[in-house]
Amino acid sequence: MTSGSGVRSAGLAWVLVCLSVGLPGTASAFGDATEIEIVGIDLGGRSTGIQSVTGRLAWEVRKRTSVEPVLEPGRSRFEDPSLFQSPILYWRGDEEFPPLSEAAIDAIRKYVHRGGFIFIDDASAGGEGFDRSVRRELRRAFPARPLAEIGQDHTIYRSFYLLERPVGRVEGPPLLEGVTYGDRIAIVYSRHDVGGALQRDSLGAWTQAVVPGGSIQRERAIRLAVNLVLYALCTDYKDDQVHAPFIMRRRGSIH
Amino acid sequence: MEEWHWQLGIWGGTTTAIVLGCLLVILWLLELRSFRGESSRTRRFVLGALGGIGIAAVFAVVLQLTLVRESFEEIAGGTAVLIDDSRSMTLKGPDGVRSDAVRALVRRWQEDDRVDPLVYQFGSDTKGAVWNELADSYDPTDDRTDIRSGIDAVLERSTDQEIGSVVVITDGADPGFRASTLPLDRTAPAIHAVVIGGDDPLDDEAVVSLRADTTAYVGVPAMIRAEVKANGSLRGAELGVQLWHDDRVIEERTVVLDAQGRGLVAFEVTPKRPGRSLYRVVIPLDEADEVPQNNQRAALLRVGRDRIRVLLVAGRPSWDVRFLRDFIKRDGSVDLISFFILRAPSDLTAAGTNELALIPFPTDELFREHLGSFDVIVFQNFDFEPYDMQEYLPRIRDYVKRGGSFLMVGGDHSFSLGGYAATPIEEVLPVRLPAGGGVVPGAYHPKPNPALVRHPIIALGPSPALTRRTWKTLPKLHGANGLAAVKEGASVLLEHPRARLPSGAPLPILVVGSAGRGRVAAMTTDESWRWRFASDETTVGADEYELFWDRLVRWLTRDPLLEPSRISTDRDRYGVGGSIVVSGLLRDPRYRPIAGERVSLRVLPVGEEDANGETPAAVAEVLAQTDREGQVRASIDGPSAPGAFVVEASFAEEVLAREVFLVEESGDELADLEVSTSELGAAAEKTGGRLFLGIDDVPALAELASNTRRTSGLITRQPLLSPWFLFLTLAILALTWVFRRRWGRR
Repeated sequence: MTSGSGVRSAGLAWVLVCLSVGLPGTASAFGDATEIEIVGIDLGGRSTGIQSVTGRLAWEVRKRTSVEPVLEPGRSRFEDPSLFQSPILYWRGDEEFPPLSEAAIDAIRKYVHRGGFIFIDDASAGGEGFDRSVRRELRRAFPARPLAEIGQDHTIYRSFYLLERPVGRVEGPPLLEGVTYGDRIAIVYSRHDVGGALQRDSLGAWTQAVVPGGSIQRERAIRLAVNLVLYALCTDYKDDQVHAPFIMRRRGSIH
Repeated sequence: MEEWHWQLGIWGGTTTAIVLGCLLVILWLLELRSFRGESSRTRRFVLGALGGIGIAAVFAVVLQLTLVRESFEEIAGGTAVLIDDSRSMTLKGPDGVRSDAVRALVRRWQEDDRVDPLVYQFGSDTKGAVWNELADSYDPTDDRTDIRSGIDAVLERSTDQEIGSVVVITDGADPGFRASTLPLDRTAPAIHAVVIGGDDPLDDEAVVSLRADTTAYVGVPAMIRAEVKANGSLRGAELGVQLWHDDRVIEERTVVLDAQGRGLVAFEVTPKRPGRSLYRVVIPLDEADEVPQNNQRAALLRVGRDRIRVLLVAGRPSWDVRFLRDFIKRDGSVDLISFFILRAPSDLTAAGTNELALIPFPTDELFREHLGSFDVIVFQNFDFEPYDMQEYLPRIRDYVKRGGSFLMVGGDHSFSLGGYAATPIEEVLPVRLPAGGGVVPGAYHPKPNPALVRHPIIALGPSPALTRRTWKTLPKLHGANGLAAVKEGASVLLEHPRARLPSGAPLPILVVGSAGRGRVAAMTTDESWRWRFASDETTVGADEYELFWDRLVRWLTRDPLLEPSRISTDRDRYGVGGSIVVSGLLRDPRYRPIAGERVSLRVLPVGEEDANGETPAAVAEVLAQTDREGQVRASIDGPSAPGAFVVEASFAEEVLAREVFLVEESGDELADLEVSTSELGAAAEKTGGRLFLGIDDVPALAELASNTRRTSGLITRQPLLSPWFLFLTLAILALTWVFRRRWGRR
């Protein structure tokens, strides 16, 4: 089977379902150091539940894909050398923040230059403070690479699931934005509060309602988050010629 | 004896005469046109006739026609003997060696002193020889038979030396000779032809010609086309032909021959390695073949890299996979096909197939249909069992043994953890796997093996000391796959600083080796990406990461620049006896320079064995001194015979490097030995000469002598330049003018 084919007998599928329930907690034999860790960024301000988001995202990715992220990911600061323990960062906020230090800006540049991926998630549901601050800091870090909309034909929308538009806890704008570095998108900026749609309490209940609402929207938000992690790991893998005919056929079938 | 003929005295000869004639005809037609208004038919006729006669008279005067009368006298002409000096005259037929037959004939003729002929020998050019010494000095060595040029040279001399007959002694092995092209006029001497062996053609099978692209690319098919021929008793309906690559047969064909015993065969070859690649088309030797020398011909292809084709199969997305794929994909010389397992059977996607951007893993297509098209296959933390790949593992093993390359990169789905112990894959890996899996946890700096620190894959510094220092400063790796042992002949390049094999030897992190004709590598970590992505606190090894992977891929695909030793010749083709400059870098198998040593450079024929089936002796050998870096350069006198050769550099009885080259002759002297008997017969018939097949019926040379004609007198007349003709012309022109005036025309 696959990179994905789902061709299996019903009986076998059921066995695999049972197995999968018990598998997500299984650690890699190589230890956590070799696994994917979706590190949350700590700016030192008010907590926005970053770790609950990265934990839930790790769980969803592990449950749905062959990727095995660390289920209890850590946090880091831009100025901290531990930032480079993992090439994927989750940066979430909902309010304006003061300008980052020069060391932090330099760290962002190096992080991206060396191959890192940053997912910035605006949790303000349309507020302007966090958005204004993020744009300001990205202009400082990458003055020659402005944020730009990520077109609907980009690999991000088909790195695992086939998505027609980004949605999070809120419906948000029709496209993501990003900073392109070389031949990949190194920074993705979402104004859809994707993390908000993933957050659960300790009993497993969703902590935030999705707007305008519905389980389908929440599922689509989760799928977008999974796609972003897979894109960070596979970049343009799905643009390879061998994938194109299959994906085009399926795109055709769901329209 | 007299002969009359006309000559034109006008400048430009016939061409000028034709042009002028056309202009005058046009002028006459214009004059006729001017009479159209004349009502009297008599006047029109008179004016037209006088005009035509006048123009014709002027034309005759201008042409300066000259009548030449030549008288000849018959005298006894000299005799020229023209002897074939090509190598084909050394061949042995049923009646003995052809050159011996020539010597015998010459001695027989020399017994009769009535004739003292002029003697010429012809091959690629024609040169004079001394008649009295000819029987002893005749030693044909030329690489070309050109009967036409030989006869031409004698005919040119015959105008000065009054040669009455030319006796051509040849085996007639000149397929291009045509009697009709000879410049034979009435004064040409008689041409007699003695065809040595013409009475009994050679029994011969031959590769007549070979055509191949001189430039080819790894993995891209190239064509080698040959024309073959069978003569004499060996002529049949079919002929078996082999294609050899280096020293082994890679294909055999049966060629259907036409009525002339000729046939064409085309072989498609796909070079596997860059560099020079030697192919030979060979007709297996028949005992009856009287010319074994022409049973093979060689083609030397300069093989370059088009693009390396890499198949990367990853068991799951990871940073190691991501960074390796990005690096390989950026390399324009690599054509990367990658497959990542994005969803394991146990994963719950919560979506239908149509909502997923996933494709089936095309195992059959990759590992059955297109397996042979890949230069390197990389299994990166990939376990085969969930994908029903058991049936493909023997194919991958065979692919490697046939010359493919295979790399296994570690992780929790690799080596024993991937279930590869006791599988066909383990057969080709350079390591033995423990039955029960095993992981060595913890962070570490891999150490370069001190004995192989110069190996290009791990030589990250310009010196061993800097290489060791570089490896110490790179970011640490985490975890390694456990192994049971390292196979004999494999090279451990990187070692774990603490972990040990059951034997007590350090646990390898990177092992390289060979399996059959292929190359293999085992890397027991999936953490090399950390060299590429690290904080400033440790040395960021972006350059080292790329250097390491670039060299590992190139080593797997046998990039000549990464071999311990390499030599090359200054050219890949030489003439017979040419000087060959050999240069290169010589290192031992551990990549240590062979510095300041005398090494042997030997030239050997390729693929030829002596009567005992042993490798032939070197045709040339020199001893050369290497410098401190192991560089060597020397000049060798090239082989004196054409063919395919290899130059070997050896030290301490061990061959370190080889390079092939061709020595080519100027023509295809022995390739096509078909006798041009009919053409020689036609030349003889045209000049009143005779054709002899073999020497038995050839008469004494005096009987072949002929008279020749010598010009004894020459008388010229120009009747049209006489005063009477000029007066008549002027009178016609004047009469024409008078009639025109009288009849009212201007």
